[in-house]
Amino acid sequence: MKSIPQVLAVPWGLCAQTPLVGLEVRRPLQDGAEVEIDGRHGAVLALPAASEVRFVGRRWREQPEGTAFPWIGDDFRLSALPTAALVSEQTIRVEIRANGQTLSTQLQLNHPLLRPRDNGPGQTIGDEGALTMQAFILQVLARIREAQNQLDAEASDGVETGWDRLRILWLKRRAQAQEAPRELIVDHAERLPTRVEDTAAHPRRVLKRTRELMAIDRIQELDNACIDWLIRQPGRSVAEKAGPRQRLRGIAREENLDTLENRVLKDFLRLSVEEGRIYVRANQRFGNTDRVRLVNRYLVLCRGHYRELSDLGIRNPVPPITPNYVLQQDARYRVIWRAYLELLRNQQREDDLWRWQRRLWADFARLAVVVALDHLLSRQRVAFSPLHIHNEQVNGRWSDTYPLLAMFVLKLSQRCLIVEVLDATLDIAHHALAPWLSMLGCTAVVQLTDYDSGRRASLCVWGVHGVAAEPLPLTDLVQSADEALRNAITHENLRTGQTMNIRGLVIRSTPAQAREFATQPAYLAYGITLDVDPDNIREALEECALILEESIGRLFP
Amino acid sequence: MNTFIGVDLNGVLDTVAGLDQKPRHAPAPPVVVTDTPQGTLTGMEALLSPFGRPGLAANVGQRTSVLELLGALTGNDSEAPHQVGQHLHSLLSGNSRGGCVIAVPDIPTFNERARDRLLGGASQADVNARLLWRPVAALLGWGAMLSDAKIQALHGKRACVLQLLPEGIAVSELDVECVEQDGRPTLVPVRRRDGLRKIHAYSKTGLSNLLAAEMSITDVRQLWGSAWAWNALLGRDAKPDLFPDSHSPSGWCIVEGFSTLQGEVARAISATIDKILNEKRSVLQNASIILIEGPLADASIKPRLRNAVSLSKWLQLKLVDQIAPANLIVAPTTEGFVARGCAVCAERQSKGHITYYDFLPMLEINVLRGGEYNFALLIDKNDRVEGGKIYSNTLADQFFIAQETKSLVFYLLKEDEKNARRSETALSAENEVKISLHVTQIPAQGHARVEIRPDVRGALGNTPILLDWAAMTEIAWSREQILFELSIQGIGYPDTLPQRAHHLIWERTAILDTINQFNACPIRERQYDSMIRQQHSGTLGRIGTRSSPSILTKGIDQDQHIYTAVDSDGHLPEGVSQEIIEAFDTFREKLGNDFTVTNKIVGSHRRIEQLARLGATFYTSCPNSIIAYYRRVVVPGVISPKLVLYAGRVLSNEQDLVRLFRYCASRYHDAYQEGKNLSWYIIRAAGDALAYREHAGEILDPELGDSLADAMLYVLRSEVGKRNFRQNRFKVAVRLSAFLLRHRMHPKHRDFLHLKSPNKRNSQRAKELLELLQEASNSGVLNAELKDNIDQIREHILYRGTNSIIDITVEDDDTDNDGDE
Repeated sequence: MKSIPQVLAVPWGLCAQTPLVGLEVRRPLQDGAEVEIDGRHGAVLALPAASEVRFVGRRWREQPEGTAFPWIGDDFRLSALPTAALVSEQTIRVEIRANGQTLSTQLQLNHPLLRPRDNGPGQTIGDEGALTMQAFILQVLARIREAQNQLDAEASDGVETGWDRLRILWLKRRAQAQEAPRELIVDHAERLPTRVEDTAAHPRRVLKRTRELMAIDRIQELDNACIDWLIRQPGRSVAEKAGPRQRLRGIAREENLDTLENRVLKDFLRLSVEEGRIYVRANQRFGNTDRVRLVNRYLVLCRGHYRELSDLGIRNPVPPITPNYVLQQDARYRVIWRAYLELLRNQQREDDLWRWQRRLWADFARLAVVVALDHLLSRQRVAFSPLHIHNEQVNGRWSDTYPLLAMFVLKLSQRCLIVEVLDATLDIAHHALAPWLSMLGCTAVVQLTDYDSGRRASLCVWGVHGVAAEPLPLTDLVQSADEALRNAITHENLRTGQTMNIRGLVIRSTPAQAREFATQPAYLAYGITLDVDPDNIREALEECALILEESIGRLFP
Repeated sequence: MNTFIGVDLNGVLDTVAGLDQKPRHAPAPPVVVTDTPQGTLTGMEALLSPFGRPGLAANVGQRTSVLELLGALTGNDSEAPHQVGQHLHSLLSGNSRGGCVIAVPDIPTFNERARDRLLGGASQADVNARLLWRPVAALLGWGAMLSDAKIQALHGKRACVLQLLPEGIAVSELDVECVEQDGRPTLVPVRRRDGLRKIHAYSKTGLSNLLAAEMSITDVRQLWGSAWAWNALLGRDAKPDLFPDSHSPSGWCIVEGFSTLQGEVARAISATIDKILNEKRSVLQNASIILIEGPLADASIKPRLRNAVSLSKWLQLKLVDQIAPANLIVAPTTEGFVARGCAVCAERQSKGHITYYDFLPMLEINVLRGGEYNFALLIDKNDRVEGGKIYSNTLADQFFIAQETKSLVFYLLKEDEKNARRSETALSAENEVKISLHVTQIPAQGHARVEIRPDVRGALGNTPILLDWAAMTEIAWSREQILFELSIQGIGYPDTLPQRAHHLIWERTAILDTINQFNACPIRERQYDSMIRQQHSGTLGRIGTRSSPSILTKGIDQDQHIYTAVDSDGHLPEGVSQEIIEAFDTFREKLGNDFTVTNKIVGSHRRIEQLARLGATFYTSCPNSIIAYYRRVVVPGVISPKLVLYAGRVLSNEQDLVRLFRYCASRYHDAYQEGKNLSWYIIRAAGDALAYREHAGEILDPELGDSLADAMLYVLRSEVGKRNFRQNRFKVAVRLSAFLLRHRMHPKHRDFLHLKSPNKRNSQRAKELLELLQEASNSGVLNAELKDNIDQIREHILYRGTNSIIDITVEDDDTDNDGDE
């Protein structure tokens, strides 16, 4: 291949060189070589535009980020890499095919935070950091999904679009708790308690037939083998043959509970408890609401029955599970089986959510930029992309929008600016988005045009999310972004002879809810953190709006 | 929680209101955006989206205004109903989609079809809707705010509703009644058949184009990108908007909006108001209540040099100035009278109360009464109907569907439609079924529903059979034309009756000997002439033998039909021997040659005529030389007119038949003018041609047909008058009257001899013919067969004929002197 594919530690890694907190911002990929990368911070591939990427041994699909851009005489593009959800995913084998050549490489993710799982109720595998991260990404998802929430009558006056709903819920939410979101576990808690109680309290038993020595008066059934045995016993009469203890071999029936359907029932209860705990943990602030209380009661029910079934010696099922007749046809177990499949699919979804949490954060950051700009007093709305939220993530994305996210007219310091907020991660770019900006790996680009002079500028926005208990310091990220911007400007200047007016904004996640700012004037980029907690998000967005205004102001001094 | 929801759907300021809820306006202007990456968008999401907006995403998606979609409901756009339905869906919340009432304009263009399409579109979008006339809704909404005393005082008064709509200003006249319901007086509008319902358009080009002109924009799409162009029309503050501008440094241009209209729109509205005040002055003066409402009521206009004022206020000032009405109510858009009135209607309907009174357009359907086709009322125009309730009626007339009937054809005439409609319904009746027609309709809810109900349930299947309006064909026929078409649906003429040949004629008579004798006799022989004399006659043994198998077998064969040696198509009968065929062919050839030779000899007229008569026994296989001779026979004054008797047998192609008919007609005209008898040979010849030749009826042109009809009547009249019912002249005339009916096949003369023909002369002929035939039939001197034939002919004239054969036996004697030679 003409240009060497790279793995980047930060989205702008292709344009930066200085290591970031000792971390190489980019590493070249060699055929047959193994590359170790710090798994805490996510990774991005930079590769030739015409190449195909395959994750060997995985069902993952490639997740392109943005359109192609010119790079060292070739066209390159960026592609997101997943975070490890399971231990086995710490090693990722990648094949990159381009121009008839294949590059096979192995990426070793070091120190990733894996998705916490319950080995049994109360036995969580995963440290506190992972649990906090899990709660955090569920919060982020909940914030995004609020674009399709129904509001109460008073609040819904004047609310016509998803953007309006976000604006109301993020910026004008009342302090008192609303209702917790409806998830699968809530649906189960509503529908299934009676069924669970009925089935788990009286699990299906099969009678196993065994041949045992038993007292004569206890024998009810004999088979040929018992009679053969009897014949062989010494003695002439049955009494003699019974021996001093007067015992003969007969058929005993033993109850057996360790059947496939009961193992599935037990695993179903385990998963229900795990889901319930995640739900309750993620919705602590709705502690007194009906849904959370309902799920708590359901949790207690499932936990209790899980223990009972464990005590009865029912083992865990071994995947993959092929349902038997009882699971498919029995009136009680059929319901349990369907609910179990729903939980397994949900686990799959949560794994996917964990893997692509960086893109989740980027999704949120894009929406936040639009809502923040819309909050500015000096803005006039021109257009908004429709905002729909998928029920399932699509290539790591939950929001469904047009490349032009929003358009405003902004009055700033006696200037009138035309502001276009563009999604820079879609593979179909808006005409206003310069291709070269894609090499910076932006989440969004705020394209600005001075109404009077026609002068143009761009504000690159990055949504940066690290899958680590301790995220990278914001100031270091901003410094690195600054270097990348300067290098990109120089590169483009050399290529086209034009001077680019461009600045950046890094929006970093903060699972621990710590607020940070990086607004040194010397840098081309600013940085902020955004808290997604419903109680804090308003303030966070107001700060974001101010920072955006300031950043825009710097582009048009 | 009440779910009585009303919708004012007008395309500019759509409003939704519940009974106790504040009216809620949809984003203005309402648009629907389709074909976007996110699917179809409605409401504010559609309005704010970049799709279909110049400079943003102009080529992505299709942005259509609801105003255009409402107009498209009257056309053929197949997507419009669905998109309107989606817009309605976005206006309403979940509960209210289960039942709402939508106001529709009460103007002729928004007809039943448009209302049907609107209901269909709403149903597709899971919105269960009923429709209500807009002026009725306005009065109901206003009435809901009145005190009981005030309502009672309005009983019997006349109201005029002036609706300021995007299409124009609509003027509607209604009456008002007070009806006690649930112990309280309620206002009940009455929509009268003769009440005024008219819309005065602002201009021919429409409001959108006027607005574009006022805003000086060339790209009409800019009107629908935001509320920028509509704020002034809605009485809102002006707001700027951003448009692409290739001439500006930034590529954009911020354009300030208008808060007041003072250009094209203001002038057009002002002119419309003046026109209404002029033309409808008497209506306005007669009205005790004038209600001004509409989505444009708050439009801020500045007509000429006046100050800016709202449109409703300005209209109010003009009315006060010129009409001084007793009760003038101006409804601002915030009140949502129409939407609220729809909610009131919904509530009353849920309780089974009277909402308003209405009428339905008269509907008629064709029936057969007393043997005559006519139109009967399915919906009587004098019936007053309760609004929202089902009007139903069953036609007193009943119909019979005969066994194996494949389809039923109905014609419907609707009062408010110019054209009639034709409906054809496929059926599968195994037995004869008696049916009745049942109609139901709800005012304002679309087309009437006409159901075919069998007397015996399930006789036509388990699914109700409805006359489907959408499948009906519009036909531009008048009532009379339809009745005429219906009257000619039956059998109006008999089948042809070719002359048939029979092998027994050859086997049981001496024809073959006669032919062989002729074949062996040279033309120069002395006995040639005596040999050919009278050979054409029908006497047994002669070449022209006419007999029946019954006679030839002395009663062993019961067949009494008269056969000849050669059929009228010139063919020998089946089953004759090869000897006969060869002798016949030789005979034919010799006859032709002999005729040709004889024709050259001067003074051999007698022989020529004999040979010509002999040639006629061949019918169409007559030798060509003799056919050529007969062509000269049918030219007036050329050859012996007696021979025309045989011309009808020999001549068969179109040109020859036309010559024959022209000759017959001219002979009649001559006889008529000279007051002489017309030879029955003429009548016979024409009758033969029409009876033997399938296409003769069509070849006859209308003028000739009429002439022949006159000729036939001329003879028939004379014979009936003399009561000569046994004479050949009479029979020949009757025979011609039967086969002359075949001229009805001519596409331009389908009303030939029709009693109800618009041509007076034609209908007189029919009448006279019927009378003459009736007189003959009643005479008591006819044999049974002839009487039966005459009765059949009468039925054919009345299009009630059957497929039975009309066979009237006539003689061939050409020695009979008719007196016109």
